Amino acid sequence: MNKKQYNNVIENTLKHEQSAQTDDSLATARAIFDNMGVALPQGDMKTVYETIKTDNYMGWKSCTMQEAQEAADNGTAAIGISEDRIVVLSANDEEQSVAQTTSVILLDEETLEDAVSSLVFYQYSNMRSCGDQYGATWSSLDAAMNYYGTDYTYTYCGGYYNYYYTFSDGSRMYFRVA
Amino acid sequence: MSEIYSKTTVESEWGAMLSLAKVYFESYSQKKYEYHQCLVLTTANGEQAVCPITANSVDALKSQACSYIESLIKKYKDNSIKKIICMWENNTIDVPSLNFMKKLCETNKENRNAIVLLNAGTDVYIAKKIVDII
Repeated sequence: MNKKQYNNVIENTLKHEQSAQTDDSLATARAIFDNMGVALPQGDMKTVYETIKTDNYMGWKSCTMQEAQEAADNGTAAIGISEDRIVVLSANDEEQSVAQTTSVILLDEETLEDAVSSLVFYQYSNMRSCGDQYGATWSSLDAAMNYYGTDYTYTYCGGYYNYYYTFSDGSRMYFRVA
Repeated sequence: MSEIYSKTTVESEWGAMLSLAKVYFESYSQKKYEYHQCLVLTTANGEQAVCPITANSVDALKSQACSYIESLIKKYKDNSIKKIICMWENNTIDVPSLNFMKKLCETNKENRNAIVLLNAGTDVYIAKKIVDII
């Protein structure tokens, strides 16, 4: 997912999902990340905060404020979170900008320090970026490549190979080999 | 630009096509094949075509899929495709074969803008134009 697509998901969620049209920052973040296919812990705000803070939940990893904004600018989900609120970072993109709200912000020179001083920042560093595609399970790599008709590559994580090839728009199509 | 759908929002845009593919597989009780796929295509005129593919090799699967393009043109006098769903027997959604997408685009250049529904995670779907895939 590139930054335009990332902002597009945020914008469309804010426009069309009722749960994202309230002052509940957690409901807004959930609606946005549901639409991105990004996992957010279950529970209330405090539980989500405590779970994310373990630095061991799915792909969420702690980072600096600058790194979080850079992640968002690359189309990777990024948040600022405290015990009582969560904000989704939008990407800095002039063509596809997102209106700032109390739940969706863009960190730049104009961001007030008071507005973010209580937050700690995380990015979704799961090797599978939000918006990537998932295909079928194949009996062999040869069969998969004959069908998809392109070169594959893979990552190795947690004892598993994750095979994928890259679409022309830069997103990845993951598939499995039995 | 890709469009992302949740489980709820995918129903309004793609529900009918998804149902056609699922109904096909639910009603199929014949011989098992190694590769069993259902393409559902919506043409520019709004016609919907269900194209089942049963094959024991990827080459045979690709060949069957491409032969549907000629059949569609004969049947509907329409070679402009707007939307595509490619579903496997286990209801996994996937891209159609590269050959199929290339042949669609050779048949009509406008088919580069045909939209393919894809899986982007649990209960998350993404719709992409063929030109963004191949």
